[in-house]
Amino acid sequence: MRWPTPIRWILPLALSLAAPASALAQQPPPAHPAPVMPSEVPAKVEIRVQVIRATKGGAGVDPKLSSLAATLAKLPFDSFTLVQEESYRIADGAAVELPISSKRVVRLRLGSHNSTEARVEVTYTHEDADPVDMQVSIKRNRAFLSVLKGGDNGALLLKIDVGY
Amino acid sequence: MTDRLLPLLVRLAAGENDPALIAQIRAGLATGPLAAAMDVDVLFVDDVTGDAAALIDMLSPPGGLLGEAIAREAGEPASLGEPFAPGLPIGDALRAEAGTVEVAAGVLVAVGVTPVDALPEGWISALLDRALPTQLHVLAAERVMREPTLRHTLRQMADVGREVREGITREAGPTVSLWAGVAKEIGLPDAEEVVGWDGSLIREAVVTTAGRVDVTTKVMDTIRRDARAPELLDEEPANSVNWPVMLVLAFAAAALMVLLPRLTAVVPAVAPDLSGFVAQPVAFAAADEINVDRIQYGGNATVYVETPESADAPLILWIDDGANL
Repeated sequence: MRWPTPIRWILPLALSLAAPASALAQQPPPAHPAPVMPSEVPAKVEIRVQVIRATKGGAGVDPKLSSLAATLAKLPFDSFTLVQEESYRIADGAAVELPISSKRVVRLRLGSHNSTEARVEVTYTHEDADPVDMQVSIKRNRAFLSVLKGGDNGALLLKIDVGY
Repeated sequence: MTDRLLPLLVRLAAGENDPALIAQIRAGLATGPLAAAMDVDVLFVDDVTGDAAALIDMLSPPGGLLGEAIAREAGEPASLGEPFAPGLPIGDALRAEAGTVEVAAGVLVAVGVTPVDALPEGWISALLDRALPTQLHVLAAERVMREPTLRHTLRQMADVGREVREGITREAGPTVSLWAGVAKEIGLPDAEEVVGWDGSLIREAVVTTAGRVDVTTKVMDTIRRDARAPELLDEEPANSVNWPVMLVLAFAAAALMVLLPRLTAVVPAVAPDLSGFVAQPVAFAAADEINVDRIQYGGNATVYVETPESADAPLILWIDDGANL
C-alpha cells in the first residue's frame, strides 16, 4: 500500500516522538524504587545476619570484615572470619530460621516496626541446651551484636542489622 | 605663394579645367606652406570647384586665416564661416583628373580645424561600425556628445542593428553564425583566428588614454541590482511536499504524541511495592538507640548485656548457653 505523502512523512516522526512517552507509560515498575522518605514505613524490614567465627590465637580479621575491624578489636578474640551471611526481608509477625552450626539455629522474628524503630525477637536454640529468647527494640537502620560463647574454642558473633 | 596660387585657383574655380592649370596649382601647393598640412596628391579630386573655392577663401587676404596660421605655426583654429565662391568648376576639373576622393575633412582635422562638415557623409553609420579613421572617429564622437539629436540617431541605428539580429535569430534560430561566412568572404583563412588581433591592445589603449580605469564596482552594482541570485533548481519530485502544511502537521503530531500519554496514562491503583527497598547503611546502635525488652534463657545459660560506653561502641549481648558451638 502506498501511504499518502503526509502520512509517510508524519508517521515516522510521530512514532519517533511517541516512542519514549509510550515506553514510559507502559514500562513496568523499576526493580529498585527510589528510596523512600524516612517518614514512610515500608511493609517489610530487611534483617541481615553476619555470622563471624572468633577465636583466640591466630591473628587477623577477614578482609570481608574490614569495616568492623575497629569494633572487633575490642573483643577478647584474636581472629575473626566471616563464615555466613544472610539477608531477609520480612514483614511484621514473620520469622526466619538460620542454622549457624550443626546443632544451633537462630530464629529471627519481626514483631513490629514503625517509622522510628523495629521490635525484633531473637531465639538461640541448641540441641543440647535450653533456648535463649530475647526481644529488642532498635532504631531503624541500626545493628547490634550477639556473642555466643563456645567454651575455650572461641565464639560465634552474630551481627544483626535491622534496616528499612 | 598665395599671390601665384590665387589667380590660378580663381581660374580653376571659374571653370577652367585645364590639366596644365591644375598641375600649376598642385605645384604651388606642394611648394608652399600648405604642403605640410595638405596632401596635394589627393587634393582636388572630389569637388574640384568646391575645393578650389575653399582654397581661395583660405588663401585670399584678409580671409587667409588658415594659411597665416600655418605660416606662423600658431595652430589656432581657423574660421571657415566665409561663403565659398560659387560657380567655379574647379571641383569638376579635379574629379576629372583624380576621381572622387574625400580629403577635405581629413585635411582639416589634421591641421587642427574641426569644421562642422569635416565628417564624411554617413559618418554616423561608420562611427557605429567603427569604420572611421582614428582622427575622424574622435571628431565624430565629440560631435555626437555635443548634439543630443545625433545620439538619438545613433541609438536608432543601433536599434536597427539589434532588430536585424533578432530578426535573423527568429528566422534562422539562435545558432546562426554569420561570422564564418563573413570571414570567408573577406579572405580570412580561419574564422576563429584573426591574425594580429590582440585583446590586450584594447586594454592598453584605454589605459594609455584614460589611465587605470576600474569599472568593476559600477558594473557589478548594476548587475547585482537587476540580477537574480542564481538558484539550484532540483527537479521537483512527484511527491513534493508542501512544507508549510507539513510543518504545521508535524507540530500537531508532536504535540499529540506528547500529550496523549499523559491523557491516557493509567495511575497505579496500588502503592508501589517497597519490598525491594534498599536500606540505608546500617551502623551499630548507640545506647539510647536500642533497648532489650526481655530475655528468657534456661538455668544453665548466662546472658550478659554489655552496654556501650561510647557512642561508637556497639551494644553486645553475651550469651553462654553451656553448649559447644
